Amino acid sequence: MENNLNKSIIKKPHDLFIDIISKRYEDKNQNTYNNAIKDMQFIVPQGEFCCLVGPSGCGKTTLLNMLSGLDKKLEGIIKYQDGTFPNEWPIGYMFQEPRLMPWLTVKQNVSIVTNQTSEELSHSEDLINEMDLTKYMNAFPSQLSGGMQRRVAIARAFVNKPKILLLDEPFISLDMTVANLLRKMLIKLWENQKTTIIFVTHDLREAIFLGDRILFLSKGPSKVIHDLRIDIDRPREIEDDQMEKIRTNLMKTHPEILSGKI
Amino acid sequence: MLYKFLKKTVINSFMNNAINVRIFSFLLLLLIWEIAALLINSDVMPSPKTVLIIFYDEMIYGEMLYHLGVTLWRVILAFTIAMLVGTGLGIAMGSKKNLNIMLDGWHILLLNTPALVIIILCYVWFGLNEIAAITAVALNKIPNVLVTIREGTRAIDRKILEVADVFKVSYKKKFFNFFLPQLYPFIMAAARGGISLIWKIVLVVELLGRSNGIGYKLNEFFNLFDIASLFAYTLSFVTIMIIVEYSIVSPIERRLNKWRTT
Repeated sequence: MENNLNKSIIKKPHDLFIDIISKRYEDKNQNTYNNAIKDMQFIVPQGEFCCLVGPSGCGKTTLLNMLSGLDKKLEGIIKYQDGTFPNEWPIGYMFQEPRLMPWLTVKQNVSIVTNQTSEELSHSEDLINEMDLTKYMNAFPSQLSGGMQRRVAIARAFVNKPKILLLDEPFISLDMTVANLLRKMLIKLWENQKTTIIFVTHDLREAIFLGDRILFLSKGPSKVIHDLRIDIDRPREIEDDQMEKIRTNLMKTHPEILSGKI
Repeated sequence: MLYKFLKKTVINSFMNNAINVRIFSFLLLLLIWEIAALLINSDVMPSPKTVLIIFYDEMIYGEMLYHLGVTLWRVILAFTIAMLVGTGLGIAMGSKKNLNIMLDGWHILLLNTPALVIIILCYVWFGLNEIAAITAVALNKIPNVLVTIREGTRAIDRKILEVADVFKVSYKKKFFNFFLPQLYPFIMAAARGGISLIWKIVLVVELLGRSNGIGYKLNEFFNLFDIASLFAYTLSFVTIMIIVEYSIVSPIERRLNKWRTT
């Protein structure tokens, strides 16, 4: 904890502090409590692209729900440097599925989560343009491919100018080419908007390509077991030797890290 | 030979057009009616021509438009009340388990009480007045609307509502833009069944306790054994309902389903 604090030399108001003592679920069938998260502490400096990697069922989605304020029951604290809580500020969220509203057009889907002032409407259009969907502004989601629907979801995630953007394995079940295109688009938007990003994935290559830093989580009750900084200059290339080196090195030193063991 | 040739060319091309088939079907009905009237040759089965003449006379010189207007007004009022109350209760009972258990018995009771019983009780309790008439009709329809809307509420996609939650959309907007649109198909189904059921019940209500409206007039014609006028009045209301269907219900449905067909 102290180490991390010293690394971010200049403190910014929206550095995110996460200190969860425990997060439990009541198991109604057995009348017991399941510990999803225990003693999880980390800091995400403002504007950082932070990837969370861990085995399935390690409480990644639970963590995102707590960060977004969907789930308010926890023992511990999640707050910004300035003392405010993340859900007092705009939050962007991208789910595993695009979760678009089928009865709204692309433009309406993006702008519906704002107050739809003329400024916000034109911001929505800008984002859709940046996602290369200009032609589909007035199309319905059913007319779009899976990759295009995800691009709409990315635009929506950025439209409320979030202080923090949470992504829950957003590019799962897409083919490689499409997923790589979307990753590049996400990076481009992130660099323009300077949003803090927490990106959950179980794909190590994806995490190394995207992140400034990767946090590895253990199996439940989960905690951070490894904190890996990715010091590769941007823009990064998908098939890059440096990245592959980082990956093989990591697998050599911690062969079981992806299943949550150090 | 000649028949085969005709079938191939004229008849096939004529019957391939949906509008032609509808016109043909309508003319066929008129023909059957005409033949039946000719064969029976009695006042109880007037010919289409007789009915049309009375229809025209009653509309221009008689009271038909007045009674038609009164009945239509009752239909609209009862329909609106039934849809609003039924939808409200349906949403409440679909989303609150305990409320559903609480009200379900009452609902089944009302659903299975014969329309006639409800009408008689309303007239006995509230008097032979307009309020009793409208209440009786609405009470007959509310349980049906409730069933459909409750099913719809149970089929609501929670994941879409979660989108509204993470983006911190206002309650009003969440209801009208994220929740209600998911119910539109169910509301349309309830409305469609509702209009035809309601106008039939309105006629019974008028027959039993009102001194105007189509139902009142039908009773009068029954007592006078004036079947031709009875046909003419029925025709007037059926015409109105067809106009309502094609000029109001269908266009609304098409608009709401635009995203589905494309």
